Amino acid sequence: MKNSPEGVAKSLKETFGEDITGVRILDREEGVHEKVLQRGLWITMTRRVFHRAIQLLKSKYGQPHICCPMASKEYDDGIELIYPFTLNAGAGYMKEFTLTIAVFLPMSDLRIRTITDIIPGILFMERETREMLGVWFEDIPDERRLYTPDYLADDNFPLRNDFSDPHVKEEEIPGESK
Amino acid sequence: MKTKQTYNLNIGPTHPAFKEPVKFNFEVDGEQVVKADIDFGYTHRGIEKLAMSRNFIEVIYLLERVCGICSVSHPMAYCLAIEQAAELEVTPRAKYIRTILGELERLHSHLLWAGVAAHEIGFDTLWMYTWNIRETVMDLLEVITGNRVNYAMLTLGGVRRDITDELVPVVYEVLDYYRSLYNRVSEILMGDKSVQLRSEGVGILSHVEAVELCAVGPTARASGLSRDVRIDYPVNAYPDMTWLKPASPRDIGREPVGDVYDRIVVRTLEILQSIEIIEFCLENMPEGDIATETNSIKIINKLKKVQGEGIGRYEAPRGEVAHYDLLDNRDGPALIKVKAPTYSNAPAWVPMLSGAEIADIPIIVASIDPCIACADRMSFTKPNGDNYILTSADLHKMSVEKTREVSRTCTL
Repeated sequence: MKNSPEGVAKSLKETFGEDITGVRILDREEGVHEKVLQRGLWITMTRRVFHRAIQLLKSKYGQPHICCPMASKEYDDGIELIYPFTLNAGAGYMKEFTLTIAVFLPMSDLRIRTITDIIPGILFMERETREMLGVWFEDIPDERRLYTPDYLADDNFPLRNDFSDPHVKEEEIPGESK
Repeated sequence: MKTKQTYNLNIGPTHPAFKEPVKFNFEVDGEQVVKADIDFGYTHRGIEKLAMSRNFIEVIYLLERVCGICSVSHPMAYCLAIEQAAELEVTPRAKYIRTILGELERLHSHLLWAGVAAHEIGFDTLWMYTWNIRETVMDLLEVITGNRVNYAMLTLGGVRRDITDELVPVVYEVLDYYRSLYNRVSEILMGDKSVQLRSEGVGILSHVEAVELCAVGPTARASGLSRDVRIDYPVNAYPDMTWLKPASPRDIGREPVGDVYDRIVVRTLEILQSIEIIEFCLENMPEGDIATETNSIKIINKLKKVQGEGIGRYEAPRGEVAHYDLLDNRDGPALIKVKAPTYSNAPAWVPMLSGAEIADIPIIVASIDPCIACADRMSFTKPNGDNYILTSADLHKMSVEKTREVSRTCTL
């Protein structure tokens, strides 16, 4: 129970109370002759407890594995960062489950504390998120761009909804209407 | 007092050891690397952004182009994510066909890698040998799918082509061929003295570093982690294989230290594992349809009504591939984030390369089976601004000379 999605959700809820703003557990059956249940825990939490929550997860359940690059949902008033972790990676047959944490950042203050001090392997993903979305990771040990070219202006973020590359010029193709 | 002087060494962004452009900046003391740094971004194609302007079906075939070698793995992770988000069912037969395709891909990818690694240490006979025998699995993939790469086999809810009764003996014939060669291949890859001398104790990634850096695939397993998505979080036919265990150097009685040799061992063992998995799938393949829906328009119309998100994870030959997909009442994904195994394993180059000899750089870089492309030069920059260039041939020559040197000292 302790290392199950229910156990992790309960532990986070007990520790951080109302700062855990949403909990969903999604199960999906897999297999043909042998049926197994793939488990996934989706949690939303406030920015102020995020760093402490990751620390708690590491100390209680072992190093979370970051399985996928950080994703995002962009709204008019802010960006929701999505951290796809897994717990129990390598613990054995069907022991692993996904833990997806979403944290909302208002557009007026796109900042969040880095978690590279807890999970060093997330550094590339934080660097990519910074250059692609314009989210600032406080205390990040390496502030350089990861993918975008140096000519791209500092306030151009390619994965924002309103981004258009100033270096790309649309040309009309003869015979084709726009 | 004489001060110790180090030099900056840049390799890339294009170099024969890399399959995609990437730049390494090394601080070297004589022949030894003191510090390593990596610079990406020379081949970013914006596929995630492009995918957001295509429909759900078109994206499958776009994502095959993320990586030519992993052209089953990426669409697989995408389909799994969409199927999870939209609660789409996959037919039992399709789950087995998907598994067979994934393992055929692993087979050819590991043989490809073995050839690349052999070339990096100057063992070109092994390079030619592994690439020659790899042709048979490539031919089989062409027979099954119509293509050697970019197979266009997957669709949402299933696959697009069946492995018919007529094809089953052809697959068995290929598996028998690889079984008959396995002892020879494993003897060379794991038992050859010059391979051992160039790979043992080289490019070490410790267990702790592998965990902290979230390493995946054979790179993680060679460092002693028993991490394998096929076992930890199984999809397709893998839940039926309760006998499946992550490959480990322990399987041959060796305690993993996380060096290049351990990575060779894991991949070699996985060649046999893939053969066993495909045989299991052929023996237990269920009858029935190969897809829940074959009309693409109907699939798109169904997905247009969905709001949700999903994460698809799959164990590609190089390690875990994962996709995050967001559905938002559109005819295509509202957001896609893609993770290839090299994205996870690249940070591990830093500890692997620290303390290494320059001549070992090609084999260490190749040892994670990176997805990076070729190039032609490297340059040393002295602190006073003077440059001198080593061509790709020079670097390769250094690696080959080291193999010859260690071979001379070994007693066979």
